[in-house]
Amino acid sequence: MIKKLQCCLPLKAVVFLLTSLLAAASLGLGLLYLNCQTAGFFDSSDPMAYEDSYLFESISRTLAWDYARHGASWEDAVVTVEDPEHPGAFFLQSGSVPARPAALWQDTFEIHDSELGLTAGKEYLVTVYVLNLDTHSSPYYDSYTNYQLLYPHRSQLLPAAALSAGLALLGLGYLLWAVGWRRDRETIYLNWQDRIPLDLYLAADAIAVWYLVYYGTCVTNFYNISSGSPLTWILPGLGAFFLAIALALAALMTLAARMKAGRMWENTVCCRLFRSIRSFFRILPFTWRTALGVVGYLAVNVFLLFLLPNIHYFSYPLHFWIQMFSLLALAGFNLLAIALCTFFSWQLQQLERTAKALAEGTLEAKADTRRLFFSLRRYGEHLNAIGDGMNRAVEQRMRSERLKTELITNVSHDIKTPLTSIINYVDLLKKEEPEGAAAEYLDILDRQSQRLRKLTEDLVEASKASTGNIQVELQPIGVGEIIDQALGDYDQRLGDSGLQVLVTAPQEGVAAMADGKLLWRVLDNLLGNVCKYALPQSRVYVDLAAAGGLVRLTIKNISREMLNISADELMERFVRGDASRHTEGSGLGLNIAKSLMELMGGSLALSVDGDLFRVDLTLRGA
Amino acid sequence: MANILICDDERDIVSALKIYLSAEGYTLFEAYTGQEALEIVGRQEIHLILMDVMMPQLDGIAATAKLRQSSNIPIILLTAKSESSDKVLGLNVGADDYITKPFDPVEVVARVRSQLRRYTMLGGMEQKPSRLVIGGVALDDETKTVTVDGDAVSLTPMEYNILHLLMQHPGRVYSSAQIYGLVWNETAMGSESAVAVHIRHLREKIEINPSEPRYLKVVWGLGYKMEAPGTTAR
Repeated sequence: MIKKLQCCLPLKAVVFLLTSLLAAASLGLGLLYLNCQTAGFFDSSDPMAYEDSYLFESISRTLAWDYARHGASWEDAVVTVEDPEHPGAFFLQSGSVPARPAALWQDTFEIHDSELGLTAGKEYLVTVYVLNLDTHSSPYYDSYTNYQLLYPHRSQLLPAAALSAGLALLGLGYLLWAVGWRRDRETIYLNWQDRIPLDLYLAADAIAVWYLVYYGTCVTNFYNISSGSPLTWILPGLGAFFLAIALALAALMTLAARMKAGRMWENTVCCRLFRSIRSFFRILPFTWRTALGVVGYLAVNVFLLFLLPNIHYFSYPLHFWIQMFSLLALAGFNLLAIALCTFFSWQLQQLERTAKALAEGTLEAKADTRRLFFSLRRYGEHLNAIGDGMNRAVEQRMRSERLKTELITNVSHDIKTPLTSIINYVDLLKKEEPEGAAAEYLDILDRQSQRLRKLTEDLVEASKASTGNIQVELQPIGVGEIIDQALGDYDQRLGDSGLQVLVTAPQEGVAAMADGKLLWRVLDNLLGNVCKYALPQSRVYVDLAAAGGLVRLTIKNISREMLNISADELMERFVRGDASRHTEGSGLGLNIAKSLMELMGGSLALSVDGDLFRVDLTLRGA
Repeated sequence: MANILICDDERDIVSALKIYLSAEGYTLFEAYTGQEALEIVGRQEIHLILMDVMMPQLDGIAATAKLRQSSNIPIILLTAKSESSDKVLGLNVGADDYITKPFDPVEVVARVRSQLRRYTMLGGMEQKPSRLVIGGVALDDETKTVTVDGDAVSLTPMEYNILHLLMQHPGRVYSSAQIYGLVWNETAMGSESAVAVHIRHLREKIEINPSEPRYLKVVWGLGYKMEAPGTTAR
């Protein structure tokens, strides 16, 4: 039902016409009410005669003036001019004074510029004798008929205006509610007038409405001498108001329809202009845009400077105001430009900060694009995209590294169980004391199974150390102490190889930030290598020094075999000097040591100089 | 002799352990799941359990936790997991020792013997003020003798003095220089490495596996301390 009411086109048309008519009537009645007040219809409560009204007064005075000035005369009215001090002595009279005039008007005033030879500065008594009010030839005829028409209804004008205004408002409400809905459409329908650019439409509409209202207001001034009989003004006035209201109503309806469709802004000339300028600017390269911006800035400044008038015009008020305006505008515009530049550079700074953070490896760094404008926003978005991409790559790598570590750990667990059996049964076999070649083979089995065991253990450790999957607790560690402890542990093995260790360390202890257990593992690996690969009966140098907040530990030894590979290769996983391929160890020792040092925030460097093998450990001092 | 329960889902490992331990004269029981182990403990008088951690159904950790609700039999965990966090977990649920696979059979036998001695000797030792005891290590200052799990250990005078010093303050960490000063009665002038060598020898004498000491622990970069097993995690 409601939907039907909303969609019924004929109903809308009728309501539109009725509303326009009612509103026009309300406007006209309201104006008439105001005019009645001006005509003095409400000045006394008794019924007022035409002769007491302002209508009679204004026409009579006009007649008196017109006659006294240049002798204009009328059929149904006689004007006389006499000396107020000598009544009856007529200076002038337009006709014979009637014995029984229909109405009489009298006043005393000075008459200047009289063509009839009256003395300026002297007061005269002027009388208008009206023969007939209601004959067509009477100058009072129109005014009198207006009076006759309006005076009896004077108190009904305002209520009638209010009533029709109320009804018109109801109609307006219905129209605004129903506009845009059609029976065959789900969404708001925009008709031809809704497709006219809004600003053009409103401007044209406003001009037309303004003109029509102005015309209507002029026409309905019924007390004016120039206004004709009721017929001559009621219809044109009503017509003008009707048209004005209809146009205004149409404008309101199209506004409502566009608002409902949410397309107020799109269909305007302003918007199209703005958009085309914007797209033009967007197409322009950044350099050109900047250049145009600077040129525009200069142009505005030059214009405002031209507005500043020369100083000697200062006394003219108009020039003063123009000058004040241009001064204020100049100051405001330049302040705005400064603010804009500051804002722009602030944004650049934000971008730079983000870029720097990204470059330094803080991949979570993001530019807040909500606070960026112009092409800098796109800049920020690109930057964020780079960060995201890097983040994703790093995350992916971390995940795959973690998976790898997990895989290696799990596989090594699975390898360990059969390995345990192998080692145990090899040991049991050896207890059987086999003879000859069998004993030899068993020794090989024993050696190789021990190697496999070491290999699986090192493999897990290497993968954990390289992915940082180890808990590190840094605390001040006495490096001298740990060297002593490690050498104490290796005393036997070093002695077996006939190696002599020479330690150089500062008298006062050297402390470094490290995890004791991890540092021991590093030293364990390095000293293990020394025992395995150093030339027997040679010397091993261990130097400890602290300088510049860093603790340096150097281990130097002479290699037993010729070192035919580079230091870099030695560090790679699973690489050992060719000659040591078949000796014990997994080839992971140096790699694990390096990873562990890096986990502790330190470093491990290798160098090979002839047969001199040198390891440099660096740690942060405590 | 003592009754030992071996529990591992890997039959080969169980039989290998059986061979080693039966050579020592122990009576052995076998179980292949945690559930079986619990049943055997309920049926038989068991003095020690060797238990694998990764087993189907009831794993070693859960079985240990269950056993600990009713009994204080020594439990040694056997496992392929060598991370310290796994060890801490095992010891926390109540295991007495922890051996990682692949293991040295000799070490297993030594640890079994050590745990059994402590278990059967518990409280049998007379308390003297001159006696210092930490876990299975006992030092008698009157007779100047040291026993580990009841077995006498022969130490050099220096080793004895170092052990005496460390055992007077269990858990306290002494640096090499401090030990040198207190034992040698001299200020250390670069001769602290001698302490480390003595400690190494000491460890070889009182520990089953010197690389994984139970009592004489190395605090790397700080010093040494004597401590009963399981008092510090990690």
